Amino acid sequence: MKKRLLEKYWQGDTSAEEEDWLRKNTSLIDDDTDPAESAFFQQLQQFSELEMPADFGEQLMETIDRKEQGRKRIALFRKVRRIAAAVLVLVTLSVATYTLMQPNNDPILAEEEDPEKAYEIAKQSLLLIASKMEAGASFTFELDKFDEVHSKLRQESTSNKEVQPAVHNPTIKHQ
Amino acid sequence: MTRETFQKQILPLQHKLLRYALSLTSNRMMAEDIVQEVFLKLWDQRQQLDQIKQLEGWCIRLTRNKAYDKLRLHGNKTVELKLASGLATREEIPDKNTENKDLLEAIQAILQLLPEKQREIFRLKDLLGYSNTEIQEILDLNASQVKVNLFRARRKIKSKLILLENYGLKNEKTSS
Repeated sequence: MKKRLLEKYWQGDTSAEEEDWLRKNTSLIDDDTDPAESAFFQQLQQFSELEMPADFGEQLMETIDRKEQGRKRIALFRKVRRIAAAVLVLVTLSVATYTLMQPNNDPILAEEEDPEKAYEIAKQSLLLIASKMEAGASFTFELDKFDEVHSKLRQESTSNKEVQPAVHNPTIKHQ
Repeated sequence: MTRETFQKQILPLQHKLLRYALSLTSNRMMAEDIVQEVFLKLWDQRQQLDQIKQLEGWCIRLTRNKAYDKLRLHGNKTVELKLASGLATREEIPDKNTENKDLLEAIQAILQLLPEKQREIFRLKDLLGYSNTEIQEILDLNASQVKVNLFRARRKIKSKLILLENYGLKNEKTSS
């Protein structure tokens, strides 16, 4: 039976059960089987018995749990970050809206659609500017006058200094 | 996929995946790492696993890709070649690997005899115990392709065994 099964095996016609039987029985050393063939099936049998460490499943699930916890923490951090960003955007928007909604207290200088009234306002404004400029100009005129007087006084004082020795000399001569 | 389903359906594949990774790397520690990484990846993909028709085939493919990545990272199959040629010294192999060193060398020597397609079919059939139908699905081949390649692979191994047998007999005769 073993010989017939072996022939079937090398032809590639054996079923999974027959191959399993061959691995388990042909690996046993006996007179019927070639030693090289026997060693071959023995190696297949030994190889099929190789297994992961017994606690692998347990350790794997522990690793998975640790990974999941880490992921949850990261997810929570991301959520908090997202909420903080949303709050910041909301605060900025509300501040901006509040500022924009405030009434403008700046005086309206010329917001008149009627051309005649606008002309009047412009005219008054220009007159106001002109009067201010005039006042400024008169002030500078006074300043000019002050400068003129000041320079005249200086000139006179210098000319007096030059004349003084001529006045004193005769008195010395008289003595 | 729930945690319970994962433990029931996926976790039992660990030993098969280890053997598959071992047949690719010949390195026990590397093979265990590969299996762990594959399971972590499967856990991450657990929502999509229900839609996969051939789950075992999917796991096998994941393991193969991971193993190729690792081998590329560790100097392109140097471990496999060293073990296969018997060049690896005891110091070079981590302790955990030495217990199966001879067996892995022998398996690797058999696999090295075969071209890629025959090697993959031999792996799935004789090292992992898949049926021809399952191999067809995993490798996306038809029935005759699987049968022919398996026949050729076994014939090649058988001829090598005959050579070994004759060599052994000659040695016995010369020694006597």
